[in-house]
Amino acid sequence: MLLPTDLHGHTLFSDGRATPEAYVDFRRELGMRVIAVADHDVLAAVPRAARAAAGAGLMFVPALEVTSFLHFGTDRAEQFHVLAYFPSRFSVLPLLRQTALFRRGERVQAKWKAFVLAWMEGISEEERRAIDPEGTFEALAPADFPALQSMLDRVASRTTLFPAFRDHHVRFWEEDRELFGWTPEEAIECIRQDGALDVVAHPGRYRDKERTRAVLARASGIEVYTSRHKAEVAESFRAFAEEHKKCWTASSDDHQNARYVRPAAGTPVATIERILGRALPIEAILSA
Amino acid sequence: MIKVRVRKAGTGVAAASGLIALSGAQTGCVAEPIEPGDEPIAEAEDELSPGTGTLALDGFPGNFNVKLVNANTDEFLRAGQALTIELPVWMLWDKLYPGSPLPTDLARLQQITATVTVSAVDKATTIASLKAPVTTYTGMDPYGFKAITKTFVVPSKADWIGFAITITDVAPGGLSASITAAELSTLAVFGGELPNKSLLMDWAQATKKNRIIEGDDPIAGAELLLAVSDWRADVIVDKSLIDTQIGKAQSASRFGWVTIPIYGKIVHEVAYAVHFDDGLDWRPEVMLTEKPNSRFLGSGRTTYEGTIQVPAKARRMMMYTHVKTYLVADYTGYSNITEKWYADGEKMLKADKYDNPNGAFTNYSFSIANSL
Repeated sequence: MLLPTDLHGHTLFSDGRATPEAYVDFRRELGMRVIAVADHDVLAAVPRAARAAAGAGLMFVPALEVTSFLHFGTDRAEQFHVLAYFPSRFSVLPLLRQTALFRRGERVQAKWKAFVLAWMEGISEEERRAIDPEGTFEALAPADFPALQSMLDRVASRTTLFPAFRDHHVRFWEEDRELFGWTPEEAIECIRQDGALDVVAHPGRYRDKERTRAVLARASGIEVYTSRHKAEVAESFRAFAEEHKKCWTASSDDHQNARYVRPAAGTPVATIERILGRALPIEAILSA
Repeated sequence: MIKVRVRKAGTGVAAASGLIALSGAQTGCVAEPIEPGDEPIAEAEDELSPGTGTLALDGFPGNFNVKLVNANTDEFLRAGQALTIELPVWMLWDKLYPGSPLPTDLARLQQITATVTVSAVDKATTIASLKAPVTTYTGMDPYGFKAITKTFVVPSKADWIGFAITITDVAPGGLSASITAAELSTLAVFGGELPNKSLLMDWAQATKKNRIIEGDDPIAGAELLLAVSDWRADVIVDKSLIDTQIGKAQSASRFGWVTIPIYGKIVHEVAYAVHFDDGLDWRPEVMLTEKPNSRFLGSGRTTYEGTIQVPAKARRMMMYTHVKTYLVADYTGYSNITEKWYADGEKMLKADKYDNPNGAFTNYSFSIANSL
């Protein structure tokens, strides 16, 4: 049985535009039953989204999209994303704080702030004031500092520096071996150590198909239905997942940068139960 | 204070809770006429069972709130309800000592104590201020360790209750701190304005829910506040099928400039019509007033509200609601617009539906208590 889900999308805590509340409400309107916010490398949206989902009667799965690399530091380098899905009880801050991935997310936010401020030191005073008119950036806590999409919007709408910033921001991932230079296998191991389920995000997207196959063989799950996959690609990954007894998921990878693409199918109940670590109540399944 | 006699009727579940009136179901209460000299068996308040419950400090540093987490009734607070408040000690610690590690010694955590000041408000006037100090602790691990306050009873005329928390570390050299009332949201209280009652028409888990929040039936000769929830309206018109795109814009993304769809705003207009068995015809449809940050549903939710005067002689009320949904072409907030499909502010009717319990020309039916 498949449940209507969207287990991968972004908010303004990474490169999305939606608030966690708007993100949840949009999916409620669509009749989703199980949802997750999966921002890049941070779990910052989880408490707010979990609260909104509880109010909307939706099952919420704390999640993030972990950045790792294939061939880090070489000219073949490409990002490889692994989704981490936590049991629902991790929606509250005390438990989230105990995970290595949450603490890594805090370091990512701190480094992002430092990275942006360092870039701003190299631009003119006038441009700096345009981006930060109140002069508050320096004093902001890393968790409150504008994330990637918010910064892109500020730079693009207030200065002529957008191309320069867009080219520069890639270095944030490519030059930080400590935070991002791990392999997908290392990311999977960290996710498992935290008690979460590892699912390879949009596996059809990566250039190195051989390495991708190797990672898929090791991963617990595969994101099958996503806006990044054409229908035939999704079906081939579903067949692969079913043949190899992998979990699989259906999500949008929505960044609010294009028209929302509803996943072409749902996610198997077995996958949700694997994430939760328990059987779903039969009423929940039937009402879905 | 009105005296009413209400005889329970219908199923045990509805009668026991007094809070569930599913569409079309004959599960309400039946009014009995009061004979001269026949003393009422109860006051209206006595018919309600405010029950008991537990509030909890929730959220995260910088965004605290107090919410009802457990009750033997439902998700609404009522006048007369007996409540305790759970305070997660890790939150209190975080407020006292931001960023410092939480001690793992539970005896040390028991030195963090607090008093919650509960303010009851009736029509914008504070009518009572109650102190609820921490009296016990519960939990076996530091992050699950909670301080529990003394029980307090929600004052009988309260419309709202608000909270402020004073936190004290009683260890030598320990600090004190406060979470002020302004930092904590207030909670709506129902049942303080009897015999006036409230009918909430909501939607949850794929089910229509019609509820008299104060319990039992509307009361003859009193007011009934009708509130239709935003989600109920969304579902009646199937908002998810309405294409809300109003144009396109250029936007910055990590991959460069992209063309993004831009969306207008959905606006509902909700009206109701009502009929009583008082010899008159159906009253004309009446438009409900949009109330953002609904008293029924909390911050961020909207209800559409209006007051129905229940005739003194009515024994039954029939009603339906009528939802018209518009797309408003609001281009404010978007920059670099490349295509505008509509004029600025243009309002297009996208759906026009009636909310009936069992298809067209069926009506929601409520028995009326205390009819003359």
